[in-house]
Amino acid sequence: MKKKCAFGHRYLLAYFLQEIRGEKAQEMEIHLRTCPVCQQELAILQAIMATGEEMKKEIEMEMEKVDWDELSRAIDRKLEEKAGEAGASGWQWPLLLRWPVVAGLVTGIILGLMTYHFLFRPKGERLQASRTYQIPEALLDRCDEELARREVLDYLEKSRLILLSMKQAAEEASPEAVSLPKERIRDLLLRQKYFSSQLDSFRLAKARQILEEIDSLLLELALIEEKSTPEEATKLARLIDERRLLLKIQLLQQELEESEGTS
Amino acid sequence: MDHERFPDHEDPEVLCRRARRGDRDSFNRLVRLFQPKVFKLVLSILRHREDALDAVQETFMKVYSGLNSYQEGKGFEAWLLRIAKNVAIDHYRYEHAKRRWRREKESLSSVESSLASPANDPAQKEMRHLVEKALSRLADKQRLVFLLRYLQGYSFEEIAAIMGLATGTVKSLHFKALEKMKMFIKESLETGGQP
Repeated sequence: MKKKCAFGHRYLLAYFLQEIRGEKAQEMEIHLRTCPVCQQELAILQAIMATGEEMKKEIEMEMEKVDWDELSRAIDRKLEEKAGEAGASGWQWPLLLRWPVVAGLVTGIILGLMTYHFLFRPKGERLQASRTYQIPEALLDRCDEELARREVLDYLEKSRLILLSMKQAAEEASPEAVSLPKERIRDLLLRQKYFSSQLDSFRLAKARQILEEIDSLLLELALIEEKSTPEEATKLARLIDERRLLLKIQLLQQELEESEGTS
Repeated sequence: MDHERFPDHEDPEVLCRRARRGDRDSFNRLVRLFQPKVFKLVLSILRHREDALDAVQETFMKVYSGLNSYQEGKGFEAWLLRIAKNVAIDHYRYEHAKRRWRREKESLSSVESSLASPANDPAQKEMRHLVEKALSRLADKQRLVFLLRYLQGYSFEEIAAIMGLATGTVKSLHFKALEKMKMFIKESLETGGQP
Protein backbone atom coordinates (compact mmCIF):
# COMPACT_ATOMS: atom_id res chain seq x y z
CA MET A 1 0.00 0.00 0.00
CA LYS A 2 1.32 3.42 -0.93
CA LYS A 3 1.96 5.67 2.05
CA LYS A 4 1.11 9.07 0.61
CA CYS A 5 -1.58 10.47 -1.64
CA ALA A 6 -0.96 13.82 -3.29
CA PHE A 7 -4.65 14.48 -3.96
CA GLY A 8 -5.64 13.51 -0.43
CA HIS A 9 -2.80 15.54 1.03
CA ARG A 10 -4.17 18.56 -0.78
CA TYR A 11 -7.93 18.21 -0.25
CA LEU A 12 -8.73 15.65 2.44
CA LEU A 13 -8.60 17.91 5.50
CA ALA A 14 -10.46 20.71 3.73
CA TYR A 15 -13.10 18.17 2.68
CA PHE A 16 -13.32 16.84 6.25
CA LEU A 17 -13.73 20.37 7.64
CA GLN A 18 -16.31 21.08 4.92
CA GLU A 19 -14.24 23.90 3.54
CA ILE A 20 -14.63 22.65 -0.02
CA ARG A 21 -17.98 22.13 -1.63
CA GLY A 22 -19.44 21.38 -5.01
CA GLU A 23 -17.40 19.57 -7.61
CA LYS A 24 -14.25 19.30 -5.54
CA ALA A 25 -16.20 17.73 -2.69
CA GLN A 26 -17.79 15.20 -5.05
CA GLU A 27 -14.38 14.47 -6.57
CA MET A 28 -13.01 13.80 -3.10
CA GLU A 29 -15.92 11.47 -2.26
CA ILE A 30 -15.23 9.45 -5.43
CA HIS A 31 -11.49 9.40 -4.66
CA LEU A 32 -12.14 8.16 -1.14
CA ARG A 33 -13.90 5.04 -2.43
CA THR A 34 -10.69 3.84 -4.08
CA CYS A 35 -7.79 5.39 -2.06
CA PRO A 36 -6.85 3.34 1.04
CA VAL A 37 -4.40 6.06 2.17
CA CYS A 38 -7.14 8.70 2.24
CA GLN A 39 -9.57 6.25 3.79
CA GLN A 40 -7.14 5.61 6.63
CA GLU A 41 -6.46 9.31 7.12
CA LEU A 42 -10.16 10.13 7.12
CA ALA A 43 -10.70 7.44 9.75
CA ILE A 44 -7.95 9.01 11.87
CA LEU A 45 -9.56 12.44 11.60
CA GLN A 46 -12.92 11.02 12.60
CA ALA A 47 -11.26 9.27 15.56
CA ILE A 48 -9.68 12.55 16.62
CA MET A 49 -13.08 14.22 16.55
CA ALA A 50 -14.63 11.35 18.45
CA THR A 51 -11.91 11.57 21.08
CA GLY A 52 -12.50 15.32 21.28
CA GLU A 53 -16.17 14.66 21.92
CA GLU A 54 -15.26 12.11 24.54
CA MET A 55 -12.98 14.56 26.30
CA LYS A 56 -15.66 17.20 26.13
CA LYS A 57 -18.08 14.88 27.90
CA GLU A 58 -15.48 14.13 30.57
CA ILE A 59 -15.06 17.83 31.21
CA GLU A 60 -18.79 18.33 31.46
CA MET A 61 -18.95 15.49 33.96
CA GLU A 62 -16.21 17.18 36.00
CA MET A 63 -18.10 20.45 35.82
CA GLU A 64 -21.07 18.82 37.50
CA LYS A 65 -18.89 17.72 40.43
CA VAL A 66 -17.55 21.17 41.22
CA ASP A 67 -18.93 22.96 44.28
CA TRP A 68 -19.19 26.43 42.75
CA ASP A 69 -20.17 28.09 46.02
CA GLU A 70 -17.11 26.66 47.73
CA LEU A 71 -14.90 27.74 44.83
CA SER A 72 -16.18 31.32 44.93
CA ARG A 73 -15.77 31.35 48.74
CA ALA A 74 -12.17 30.13 48.34
CA ILE A 75 -11.52 32.97 45.91
CA ASP A 76 -13.12 35.43 48.31
CA ARG A 77 -10.98 34.14 51.18
CA LYS A 78 -7.84 34.58 49.09
CA LEU A 79 -8.86 38.12 48.26
CA GLU A 80 -9.44 38.79 51.97
CA GLU A 81 -5.97 37.44 52.78
CA LYS A 82 -4.46 39.60 50.08
CA ALA A 83 -6.31 42.66 51.33
CA GLY A 84 -5.10 41.85 54.87
CA GLU A 85 -1.51 41.62 53.68
CA ALA A 86 -1.85 44.87 51.79
CA GLY A 87 -3.33 46.48 54.91
CA ALA A 88 -0.53 45.16 57.09
CA SER A 89 2.10 46.41 54.70
CA GLY A 90 0.24 49.74 54.59
CA TRP A 91 0.74 50.17 58.33
CA GLN A 92 4.40 49.51 57.93
CA TRP A 93 4.86 52.38 55.50
CA PRO A 94 5.11 55.12 58.11
CA LEU A 95 7.75 53.09 59.96
CA LEU A 96 9.66 52.52 56.75
CA LEU A 97 9.38 56.19 55.96
CA ARG A 98 10.91 56.99 59.32
CA TRP A 99 14.08 55.08 58.58
CA PRO A 100 15.49 57.57 56.07
CA VAL A 101 14.79 60.37 58.56
CA VAL A 102 16.67 58.55 61.34
CA ALA A 103 19.51 57.68 58.97
CA GLY A 104 19.67 61.33 57.86
CA LEU A 105 19.83 62.57 61.45
CA VAL A 106 22.61 60.16 62.40
CA THR A 107 24.61 61.07 59.29
CA GLY A 108 24.13 64.79 60.07
CA ILE A 109 25.40 64.37 63.63
CA ILE A 110 28.48 62.44 62.47
CA LEU A 111 29.28 64.99 59.76
CA GLY A 112 28.80 67.86 62.25
CA LEU A 113 31.21 66.32 64.76
CA MET A 114 33.81 65.69 62.06
CA THR A 115 33.51 69.26 60.77
CA TYR A 116 33.96 70.65 64.29
CA HIS A 117 36.93 68.37 64.93
CA PHE A 118 38.83 69.23 61.75
CA LEU A 119 37.79 72.82 60.99
CA PHE A 120 36.43 74.70 63.99
CA ARG A 121 38.35 73.24 66.91
CA PRO A 122 40.60 75.93 68.61
CA LYS A 123 44.18 75.90 67.28
CA GLY A 124 45.75 75.79 70.76
CA GLU A 125 43.78 72.69 71.60
CA ARG A 126 44.88 71.04 68.38
CA LEU A 127 48.57 72.01 68.96
CA GLN A 128 48.44 70.71 72.49
CA ALA A 129 47.01 67.47 71.25
CA SER A 130 49.70 67.26 68.59
CA ARG A 131 52.42 67.91 71.18
CA THR A 132 51.10 65.18 73.32
CA TYR A 133 50.80 62.64 70.60
CA GLN A 134 53.22 63.60 67.87
CA ILE A 135 56.60 63.00 69.61
CA PRO A 136 57.18 59.30 69.98
CA GLU A 137 58.61 57.99 73.21
CA ALA A 138 61.43 56.22 71.37
CA LEU A 139 62.62 59.54 69.95
CA LEU A 140 62.78 61.06 73.43
CA ASP A 141 64.83 58.09 74.61
CA ARG A 142 67.22 58.55 71.72
CA CYS A 143 67.65 62.24 72.60
CA ASP A 144 68.49 61.34 76.20
CA GLU A 145 70.96 58.73 75.02
CA GLU A 146 72.65 61.20 72.70
CA LEU A 147 73.02 63.75 75.48
CA ALA A 148 74.49 61.08 77.74
CA ARG A 149 76.89 60.02 75.00
CA ARG A 150 78.17 63.57 74.65
CA GLU A 151 78.46 63.92 78.42
CA VAL A 152 80.51 60.72 78.62
CA LEU A 153 82.78 61.87 75.79
CA ASP A 154 83.35 65.15 77.56
CA TYR A 155 83.95 63.35 80.83
CA LEU A 156 86.39 60.95 79.23
CA GLU A 157 88.32 63.76 77.59
CA LYS A 158 88.65 65.68 80.79
CA SER A 159 89.57 62.57 82.76
CA ARG A 160 92.12 61.64 80.15
CA LEU A 161 93.75 65.08 80.40
CA ILE A 162 93.92 64.86 84.20
CA LEU A 163 95.35 61.37 84.13
CA LEU A 164 97.78 62.31 81.41
CA SER A 165 99.01 65.30 83.38
CA MET A 166 99.34 63.13 86.49
CA LYS A 167 101.39 60.59 84.57
CA GLN A 168 103.60 63.21 82.97
CA ALA A 169 104.25 64.78 86.35
CA ALA A 170 105.22 61.43 87.80
CA GLU A 171 107.47 60.62 84.85
CA GLU A 172 109.25 63.93 85.17
CA ALA A 173 110.16 62.76 88.71
CA SER A 174 110.07 66.27 90.04
CA PRO A 175 111.26 66.44 93.64
CA GLU A 176 108.52 68.90 94.36
CA ALA A 177 105.04 67.99 95.20
CA VAL A 178 102.62 67.60 92.27
CA SER A 179 99.63 69.95 92.43
CA LEU A 180 96.25 68.34 91.75
CA PRO A 181 93.30 69.98 89.94
CA LYS A 182 91.00 69.28 92.86
CA GLU A 183 88.04 71.27 91.60
CA ARG A 184 88.07 69.63 88.18
CA ILE A 185 88.30 66.24 89.84
CA ARG A 186 85.31 66.94 92.11
CA ASP A 187 83.37 68.33 89.18
CA LEU A 188 84.08 65.19 87.20
CA LEU A 189 82.99 63.00 90.11
CA LEU A 190 79.68 64.88 90.31
CA ARG A 191 79.08 64.67 86.60
CA GLN A 192 79.77 60.97 86.61
CA LYS A 193 77.01 60.56 89.21
CA TYR A 194 74.68 62.56 87.05
CA PHE A 195 75.09 60.60 83.86
CA SER A 196 75.67 57.17 85.41
CA SER A 197 71.87 56.65 85.32
CA GLN A 198 72.08 56.89 81.51
CA LEU A 199 74.67 54.13 81.26
CA ASP A 200 72.08 51.39 81.34
CA SER A 201 71.38 51.80 77.67
CA PHE A 202 72.79 49.19 75.32
CA ARG A 203 75.28 51.51 73.57
CA LEU A 204 76.76 53.00 76.75
CA ALA A 205 76.93 49.78 78.78
CA LYS A 206 80.57 49.21 77.69
CA ALA A 207 81.56 52.60 79.11
CA ARG A 208 80.30 51.75 82.55
CA GLN A 209 83.31 49.58 83.54
CA ILE A 210 85.92 52.07 82.35
CA LEU A 211 84.07 54.95 83.92
CA GLU A 212 83.98 53.11 87.24
CA GLU A 213 87.76 52.59 87.07
CA ILE A 214 88.27 56.27 86.29
CA ASP A 215 85.89 57.13 89.04
CA SER A 216 87.80 55.10 91.63
CA LEU A 217 91.05 56.70 90.58
CA LEU A 218 89.58 60.17 90.68
CA LEU A 219 88.20 59.37 94.11
CA GLU A 220 91.70 58.46 95.28
CA LEU A 221 92.98 61.71 93.84
CA ALA A 222 90.24 63.62 95.60
CA LEU A 223 91.34 62.15 98.93
CA ILE A 224 94.88 63.29 98.47
CA GLU A 225 95.88 66.64 99.77
CA GLU A 226 96.23 69.62 97.50
CA LYS A 227 99.70 68.53 96.56
CA SER A 228 100.68 64.91 96.25
CA THR A 229 104.15 63.70 97.16
CA PRO A 230 106.41 62.34 94.35
CA GLU A 231 105.82 58.83 95.70
CA GLU A 232 102.08 59.26 95.51
CA ALA A 233 102.37 60.64 91.98
CA THR A 234 104.52 57.65 90.91
CA LYS A 235 102.05 55.26 92.49
CA LEU A 236 99.13 56.89 90.60
CA ALA A 237 101.08 56.79 87.33
CA ARG A 238 101.72 53.10 87.89
CA LEU A 239 98.03 52.49 88.49
CA ILE A 240 97.19 54.32 85.31
CA ASP A 241 99.61 52.15 83.40
CA GLU A 242 98.58 48.92 85.05
CA ARG A 243 94.94 49.53 84.32
CA ARG A 244 95.74 50.85 80.86
CA LEU A 245 93.30 53.60 81.58
CA LEU A 246 94.53 56.03 78.96
CA LEU A 247 94.32 53.40 76.23
CA LYS A 248 90.89 52.32 77.37
CA ILE A 249 89.69 55.91 77.46
CA GLN A 250 91.03 56.51 73.98
CA LEU A 251 89.33 53.40 72.57
CA LEU A 252 86.08 54.25 74.25
CA GLN A 253 86.19 57.80 72.97
CA GLN A 254 86.83 56.52 69.48
CA GLU A 255 83.94 54.09 69.70
CA LEU A 256 81.52 56.69 71.03
CA GLU A 257 82.53 59.20 68.40
CA GLU A 258 81.99 56.65 65.66
CA SER A 259 78.57 55.81 67.02
CA GLU A 260 77.47 59.42 66.61
CA GLY A 261 74.49 59.60 64.31
CA THR A 262 73.93 55.88 64.27
CA SER A 263 72.21 55.68 67.60
CA MET B 1 -19.32 35.24 24.34
CA ASP B 2 -19.72 39.00 25.01
CA HIS B 3 -22.67 39.10 22.69
CA GLU B 4 -24.58 37.18 25.39
CA ARG B 5 -27.26 39.36 26.93
CA PHE B 6 -27.01 39.82 30.70
CA PRO B 7 -29.61 41.39 32.95
CA ASP B 8 -28.50 44.88 34.00
CA HIS B 9 -27.54 43.83 37.51
CA GLU B 10 -25.27 41.11 36.01
CA ASP B 11 -23.75 43.02 33.11
CA PRO B 12 -20.01 42.23 33.32
CA GLU B 13 -19.09 45.74 32.26
CA VAL B 14 -21.19 47.28 35.04
CA LEU B 15 -19.94 44.78 37.62
CA CYS B 16 -16.35 45.35 36.52
CA ARG B 17 -16.77 49.12 36.84
CA ARG B 18 -18.14 48.72 40.37
CA ALA B 19 -15.48 46.18 41.33
CA ARG B 20 -12.83 48.57 40.16
CA ARG B 21 -14.20 51.12 42.63
CA GLY B 22 -13.69 48.58 45.42
CA ASP B 23 -17.13 46.93 45.44
CA ARG B 24 -16.26 43.36 46.49
CA ASP B 25 -19.84 42.14 46.05
CA SER B 26 -19.73 43.08 42.39
CA PHE B 27 -16.48 41.21 41.98
CA ASN B 28 -17.95 38.16 43.73
CA ARG B 29 -20.81 38.29 41.28
CA LEU B 30 -18.33 38.34 38.41
CA VAL B 31 -16.67 35.28 39.94
CA ARG B 32 -19.95 33.41 40.22
CA LEU B 33 -20.88 34.39 36.70
CA PHE B 34 -17.68 33.29 35.02
CA GLN B 35 -16.12 30.62 37.18
CA PRO B 36 -17.70 27.70 35.22
CA LYS B 37 -16.35 29.01 31.92
CA VAL B 38 -12.94 29.65 33.42
CA PHE B 39 -12.89 26.20 35.02
CA LYS B 40 -13.89 24.54 31.77
CA LEU B 41 -11.19 26.36 29.85
CA VAL B 42 -8.38 25.62 32.28
CA LEU B 43 -9.53 22.02 32.74
CA SER B 44 -9.41 21.55 28.95
CA ILE B 45 -5.82 22.68 28.95
CA LEU B 46 -4.62 21.07 32.17
CA ARG B 47 -6.72 17.88 32.13
CA HIS B 48 -6.36 17.70 35.92
CA ARG B 49 -9.16 18.67 38.28
CA GLU B 50 -7.12 19.96 41.24
CA ASP B 51 -4.73 21.89 39.06
CA ALA B 52 -7.72 23.40 37.27
CA LEU B 53 -9.32 24.52 40.56
CA ASP B 54 -6.03 26.17 41.58
CA ALA B 55 -5.81 27.84 38.20
CA VAL B 56 -9.34 29.24 38.54
CA GLN B 57 -8.43 30.85 41.86
CA GLU B 58 -5.20 32.22 40.47
CA THR B 59 -7.04 33.59 37.46
CA PHE B 60 -9.53 35.55 39.54
CA MET B 61 -6.78 36.86 41.80
CA LYS B 62 -5.00 38.18 38.73
CA VAL B 63 -8.22 39.62 37.37
CA TYR B 64 -8.88 41.41 40.66
CA SER B 65 -5.43 42.96 40.83
CA GLY B 66 -5.58 43.85 37.14
CA LEU B 67 -9.07 45.36 37.00
CA ASN B 68 -7.66 48.80 36.36
CA SER B 69 -5.86 47.60 33.25
CA TYR B 70 -9.09 46.39 31.64
CA GLN B 71 -10.36 48.78 29.01
CA GLU B 72 -14.10 49.11 29.41
CA GLY B 73 -16.15 47.96 26.45
CA LYS B 74 -13.38 45.78 24.96
CA GLY B 75 -15.07 42.54 26.05
CA PHE B 76 -14.67 41.53 29.67
CA GLU B 77 -15.18 37.82 29.03
CA ALA B 78 -12.50 37.61 26.34
CA TRP B 79 -10.13 39.53 28.62
CA LEU B 80 -10.91 37.21 31.52
CA LEU B 81 -10.51 34.04 29.45
CA ARG B 82 -7.24 35.35 28.03
CA ILE B 83 -5.91 35.63 31.56
CA ALA B 84 -7.27 32.16 32.39
CA LYS B 85 -5.64 30.73 29.27
CA ASN B 86 -2.28 32.26 30.21
CA VAL B 87 -2.51 30.97 33.78
CA ALA B 88 -3.38 27.48 32.53
CA ILE B 89 -0.58 27.46 29.96
CA ASP B 90 1.89 28.52 32.65
CA HIS B 91 0.66 25.65 34.83
CA TYR B 92 0.84 23.29 31.88
CA ARG B 93 4.40 24.27 31.00
CA TYR B 94 5.45 23.98 34.61
CA GLU B 95 3.91 20.53 35.00
CA HIS B 96 5.25 19.45 31.61
CA ALA B 97 8.78 20.55 32.50
CA LYS B 98 8.47 18.85 35.88
CA ARG B 99 7.43 15.60 34.24
CA ARG B 100 10.21 15.77 31.69
CA TRP B 101 12.70 16.48 34.39
CA ARG B 102 11.51 13.44 36.27
CA ARG B 103 11.93 11.45 33.05
CA GLU B 104 8.44 10.19 33.15
CA LYS B 105 6.22 9.77 30.16
CA GLU B 106 6.54 12.64 27.74
CA SER B 107 2.82 13.26 27.29
CA LEU B 108 1.53 15.46 30.03
CA SER B 109 -2.10 14.90 29.21
CA SER B 110 -1.79 11.14 29.19
CA VAL B 111 0.12 11.18 32.44
CA GLU B 112 -1.61 13.94 34.26
CA SER B 113 -5.19 13.42 33.22
CA SER B 114 -7.25 12.74 36.28
CA LEU B 115 -10.42 12.63 34.23
CA ALA B 116 -12.23 9.32 33.90
CA SER B 117 -12.12 7.91 30.39
CA PRO B 118 -15.41 6.25 29.50
CA ALA B 119 -13.83 4.17 26.72
CA ASN B 120 -13.82 0.43 27.36
CA ASP B 121 -12.94 -0.87 23.90
CA PRO B 122 -9.13 -1.52 23.70
CA ALA B 123 -8.94 -0.04 20.19
CA GLN B 124 -10.83 3.02 21.38
CA LYS B 125 -8.49 3.29 24.37
CA GLU B 126 -5.51 3.00 22.07
CA MET B 127 -6.85 5.75 19.83
CA ARG B 128 -7.56 7.91 22.85
CA HIS B 129 -3.98 7.44 24.02
CA LEU B 130 -2.64 8.35 20.58
CA VAL B 131 -4.81 11.48 20.33
CA GLU B 132 -3.67 12.68 23.73
CA LYS B 133 -0.07 11.99 22.79
CA ALA B 134 -0.51 13.83 19.50
CA LEU B 135 -2.06 16.78 21.37
CA SER B 136 0.91 16.98 23.67
CA ARG B 137 3.20 17.17 20.64
CA LEU B 138 1.49 20.25 19.24
CA ALA B 139 2.77 23.76 19.66
CA ASP B 140 1.02 25.65 22.48
CA LYS B 141 -1.09 27.78 20.15
CA GLN B 142 -2.11 24.85 17.96
CA ARG B 143 -3.10 22.78 20.97
CA LEU B 144 -5.05 25.66 22.46
CA VAL B 145 -7.00 26.22 19.27
CA PHE B 146 -7.88 22.53 19.13
CA LEU B 147 -9.01 22.47 22.76
CA LEU B 148 -11.04 25.66 22.50
CA ARG B 149 -12.64 24.50 19.30
CA TYR B 150 -13.50 20.90 20.18
CA LEU B 151 -13.66 20.77 23.95
CA GLN B 152 -15.18 24.21 24.50
CA GLY B 153 -17.09 24.59 21.28
CA TYR B 154 -15.94 28.17 20.64
CA SER B 155 -16.14 29.68 17.18
CA PHE B 156 -12.97 30.78 15.40
CA GLU B 157 -13.89 34.41 16.15
CA GLU B 158 -14.25 33.69 19.85
CA ILE B 159 -10.98 31.79 19.90
CA ALA B 160 -9.34 34.72 18.13
CA ALA B 161 -10.67 37.08 20.83
CA ILE B 162 -9.42 34.85 23.65
CA MET B 163 -6.03 34.31 22.10
CA GLY B 164 -5.63 37.86 20.88
CA LEU B 165 -5.03 36.70 17.31
CA ALA B 166 -6.62 37.32 13.93
CA THR B 167 -9.35 34.90 12.92
CA GLY B 168 -7.39 33.84 9.85
CA THR B 169 -4.42 32.96 12.01
CA VAL B 170 -6.65 30.87 14.26
CA LYS B 171 -8.05 29.01 11.25
CA SER B 172 -4.54 28.34 10.03
CA LEU B 173 -3.47 27.09 13.45
CA HIS B 174 -6.51 24.85 13.58
CA PHE B 175 -5.73 23.36 10.18
CA LYS B 176 -2.10 22.74 11.06
CA ALA B 177 -3.07 21.20 14.40
CA LEU B 178 -5.33 18.64 12.78
CA GLU B 179 -2.83 17.89 10.04
CA LYS B 180 -0.04 17.29 12.53
CA MET B 181 -2.19 15.14 14.78
CA LYS B 182 -3.35 13.08 11.82
CA MET B 183 0.19 12.48 10.61
CA PHE B 184 1.46 11.66 14.09
CA ILE B 185 -1.28 9.08 14.66
CA LYS B 186 -0.82 7.59 11.20
CA GLU B 187 2.92 7.16 11.75
CA SER B 188 2.29 5.74 15.19
CA LEU B 189 -0.12 3.16 13.82
CA GLU B 190 2.30 2.20 11.06
CA THR B 191 5.21 1.76 13.45
CA GLY B 192 3.24 0.04 16.16
CA GLY B 193 2.84 2.97 18.52
CA GLN B 194 6.36 4.40 18.07
CA PRO B 195 6.34 7.26 15.54
